Amino acid sequence: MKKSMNGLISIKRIYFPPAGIYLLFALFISFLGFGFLNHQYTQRLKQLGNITGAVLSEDPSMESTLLSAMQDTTYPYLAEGFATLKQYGYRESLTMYEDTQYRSSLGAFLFLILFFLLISLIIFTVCFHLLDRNRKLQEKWLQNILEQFLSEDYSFLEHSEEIRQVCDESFLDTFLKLGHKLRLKTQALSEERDNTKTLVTDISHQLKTPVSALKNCLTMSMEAESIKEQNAFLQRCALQLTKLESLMEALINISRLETSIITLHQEKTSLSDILIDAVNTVYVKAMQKDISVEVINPSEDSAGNPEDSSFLFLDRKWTAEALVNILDNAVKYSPAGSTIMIRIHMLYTFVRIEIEDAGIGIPKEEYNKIFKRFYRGPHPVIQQSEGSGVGLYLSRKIFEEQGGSIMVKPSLRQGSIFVVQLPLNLALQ
Amino acid sequence: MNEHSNIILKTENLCKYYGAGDNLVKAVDCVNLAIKQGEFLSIVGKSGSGKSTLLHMLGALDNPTSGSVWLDGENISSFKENRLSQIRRRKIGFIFQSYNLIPSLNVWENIVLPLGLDNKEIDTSFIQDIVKTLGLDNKIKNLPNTLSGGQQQRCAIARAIAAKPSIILADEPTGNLDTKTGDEVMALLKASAKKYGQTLVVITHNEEIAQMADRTVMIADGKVVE
Repeated sequence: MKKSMNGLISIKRIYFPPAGIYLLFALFISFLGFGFLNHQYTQRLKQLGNITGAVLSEDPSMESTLLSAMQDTTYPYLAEGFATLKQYGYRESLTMYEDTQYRSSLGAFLFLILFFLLISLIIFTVCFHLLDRNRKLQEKWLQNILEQFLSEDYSFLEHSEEIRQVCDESFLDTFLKLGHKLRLKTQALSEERDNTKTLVTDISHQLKTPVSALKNCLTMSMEAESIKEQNAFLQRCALQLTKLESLMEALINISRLETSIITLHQEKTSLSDILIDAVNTVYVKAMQKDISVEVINPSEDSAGNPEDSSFLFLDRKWTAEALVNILDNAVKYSPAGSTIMIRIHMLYTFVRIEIEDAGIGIPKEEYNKIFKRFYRGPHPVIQQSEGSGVGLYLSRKIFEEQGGSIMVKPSLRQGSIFVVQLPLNLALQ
Repeated sequence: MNEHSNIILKTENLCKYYGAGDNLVKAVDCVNLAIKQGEFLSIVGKSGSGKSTLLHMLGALDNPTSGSVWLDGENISSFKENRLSQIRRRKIGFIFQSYNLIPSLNVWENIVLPLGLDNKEIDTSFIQDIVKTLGLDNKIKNLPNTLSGGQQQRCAIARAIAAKPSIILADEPTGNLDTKTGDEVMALLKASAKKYGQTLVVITHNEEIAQMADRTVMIADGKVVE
């Protein structure tokens, strides 16, 4: 790339020197022309003086005749004058070229003009040649870079500085933008590949523990000495299997979403429907712990019917699933008899859903970690309870795919508030 | 393809010192940061930790004492002022805590002002899309002082996006807003940066808001503590 670039000459350097030479030459010619004209004028003045002097020294009474002859542009004495002058080779139709006095200067002048034309021609040819060469080099360079882009080599983007002086700036900027965009796409592709790789590793890692636990239980039950012991181990097996099952389910969801097998179908849905779906899913679990779920939606009218504004463009099933993951945690970590509050606020471009629990709370340092794949807090209550560390990660992913966001804040009553914001505006998605 | 190839903005041993001798203040002290294209990075720190100074140097609004800033593979700390202002107009969108809108221009004029300064043709349909995305469609004729804080910040966001910059730098964008509006503005900023494929760097002292970012960097006493 560098070689082809070295040949490029900046446009300024192509135009300025010839333009300078050209201008100087034109100036020179103009001066020369002016000098020639000036010379002719003084010559004529001298001749006039000479003739007047000659005539008047012979006959002073001729003064008035001479003066009128000088001023009268109808030239009444022309024919008589030429009658005499003819003897000396002058006639009325004499051309400048035939006059020896003028011939040499006229020749020089014509030669100069010819020379000027020749110089112009040379300058134009050189300029044209240089521009053409430049254009060809630029084309070659462009093709070179494009070929580099094709082979996914974007090193040019890091070294664009040297080309800046020989290339049109706005063109270069657009070209660079194209390069950056292509690079980003390529990067995204390879990142996706890496993601899939780590996903497979993570999943197999997650499966290892319950599977080996299951295997252990089975071995133990087979080697058990009494039926009672065998049954106890079998029951543990069943427990491990249930765990495995729920883990599998979560993993299937996550892998589908990660590898974009699931595409979210965003369609006109009412927020209430989504919330009802979500709350119904956790209702039984909440009942068992005597936890009540309260929904406060100020935009609902007295009859409990939502206003039009709570219609959103969301994937009903997956958005409900995302909310279930949050509610599930709320139920899991809240004490029996407490209340989970769901507050809806219609904002300007987003609907804000706050889910407040009375659970164990989340330390500030973990705010960023809880949404990471397979992260589980170090709190003993979390470690003892079931879970794969997938739920909140999945929720965040579902919300973000639809132009929304999720974050967690501390609740005044010691638990946490999960704040979900989903766009009301289709333009955002 | 090498690892650093999609780094859009990076700093190398970036330092900004004020004063000398006993009064030497190290506002930014040897910061090495690499921001990937399309990433949403939040820089969190208490007030006085040097985060604003860092952002100003990232956006070529301030000169470093030593070290360098690389934007799109170019070392911008070595550039002259007129080149820098060109880069600021074309490649960087700024959003400030105090909105910095021109009070005598209406919303639409404020949004397209930077384009006019750069003699760029105004891509009307693109700007209309931004305005719609940010929910400002019925406010474009309004003067800034008739808008709420949240709406003014939306306008500032629209202005930052309008020039199609590759990176948006936001300094406490929610600092003057109440919690709900602030959260909404952040969600909006995040969603629109994603929609228009822009890299987003947000400086905040609010750790809750920082959660929305893909990555968070903590800064204390001018140093990065990740």
